[in-house]
Amino acid sequence: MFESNKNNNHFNMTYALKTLVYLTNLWLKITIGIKKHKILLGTGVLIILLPLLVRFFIWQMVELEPEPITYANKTLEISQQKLNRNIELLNKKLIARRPKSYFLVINSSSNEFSLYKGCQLVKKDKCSTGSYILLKNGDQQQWMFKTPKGEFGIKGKTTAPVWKKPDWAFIEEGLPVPALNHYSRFEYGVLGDYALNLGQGYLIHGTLYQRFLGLPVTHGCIRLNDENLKLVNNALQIGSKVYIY
Amino acid sequence: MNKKSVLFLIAGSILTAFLLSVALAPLTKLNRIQQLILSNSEFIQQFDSTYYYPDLRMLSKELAYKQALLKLGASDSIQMALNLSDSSVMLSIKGVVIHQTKVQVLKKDKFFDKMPLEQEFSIFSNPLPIRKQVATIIKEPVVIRHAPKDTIEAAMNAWQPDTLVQNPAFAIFTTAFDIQIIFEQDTNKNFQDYRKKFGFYFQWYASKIKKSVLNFLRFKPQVYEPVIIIKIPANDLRTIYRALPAKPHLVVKL
Repeated sequence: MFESNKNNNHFNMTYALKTLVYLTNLWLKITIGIKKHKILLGTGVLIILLPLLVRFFIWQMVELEPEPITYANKTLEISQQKLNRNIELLNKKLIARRPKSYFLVINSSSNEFSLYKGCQLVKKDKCSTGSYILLKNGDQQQWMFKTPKGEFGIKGKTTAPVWKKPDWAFIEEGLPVPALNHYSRFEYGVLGDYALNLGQGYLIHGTLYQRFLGLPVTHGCIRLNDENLKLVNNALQIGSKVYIY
Repeated sequence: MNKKSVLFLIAGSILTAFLLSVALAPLTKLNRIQQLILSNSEFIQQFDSTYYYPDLRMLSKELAYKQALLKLGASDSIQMALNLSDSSVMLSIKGVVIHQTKVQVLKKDKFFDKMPLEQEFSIFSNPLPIRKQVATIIKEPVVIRHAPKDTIEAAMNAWQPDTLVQNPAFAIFTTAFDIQIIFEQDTNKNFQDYRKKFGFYFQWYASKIKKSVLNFLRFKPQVYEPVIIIKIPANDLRTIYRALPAKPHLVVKL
């Protein structure tokens, strides 16, 4: 198979090279015989045209694929069946990777979420994700408010969650940072009716600022409106997949 | 012949040699790939020459694509798949498709049409590592804010939420085998879009010419970079570019 391929290349290459040598000679004859400005013009045209022409000739003349060998119909049929079987097997493996139950996909660029059940889209709507704000508190401390990307699992679910404000929540409001368990750290009702824990401090929760849904405004968490939060909370169980990109 | 003519003849010959070396680069590349394949005895044994038959050609391409997708799914990070047969671009994590968009306009080099099936099968049955990403899109549109000293300063600097930076979207991904995938936003609405596009392509051509000239001066073989140009909606392009990690992989079906 490869022998015939090489011969074919060689045959066509000879023609291609002959044509190139002819064109080069022609160009030299023309350019040496005429005035300067025409030479410059000719050179300019050549710079643009020569690679294009050569490429054109190459693609016209060179045939790298070998001549098809004649096979018996039976051989082709067996090959086709084998190919179909392999493709089907790979398809099954690929489909098996998709969760069969509910899973959530978050687009942090367009601030949208899609809830799926297997291959079926259940709901697509606005959400809010990280604002990409880098909050700097002098040279010592800084926080980046972005939503992490990748595959996550629901690690826990809470009803009527209470937000324990971290240090940055006070710093960005210009307030002094209180002690670790100071009462001012605990806020009720700001996270909505449910919170789903993605780990590393990131949650899917509700919001009081529903007008900001669809915009990148959060500190890294994912905010949904009340109706969507309820739907997602009911659909996703502990261990359900959440894909963020 | 006078001195000028001799000089001109030399300059012309050098220029012609340079242009020829550039023009012949695709053939050199195809031959280099062929040599790589021939040295891979395992692949030669696996590749069935009946695949060249028109009925089996599409199936063999499909098989290569699925094999590559399966290998791509082994990775934890976000990866990209490009199916030129059904004009779609996909993002996936661990084999789960998380984003899909339709290609509006597609152009590819003649190189891909001339590529023998065995080469295509060998290259595209594996995910291609993306070695370089260049884009007009800001990967992480970070906004730096300094902590206010008190509540009054915090109120004065109250931040108004807005969408992320939405500048014109053009991107080039250079993969293994020096294949360049150029993504363009499908519509250019204003002068700024056209200016950005011109600047983007100008830089791209300039770097290509610079590379070619340097290779020629150093007597190195020219590197041919086959190109696939894809136009998709700007928002999808921004999403894809921002979603991909620093060293992503790409699966292509021609």
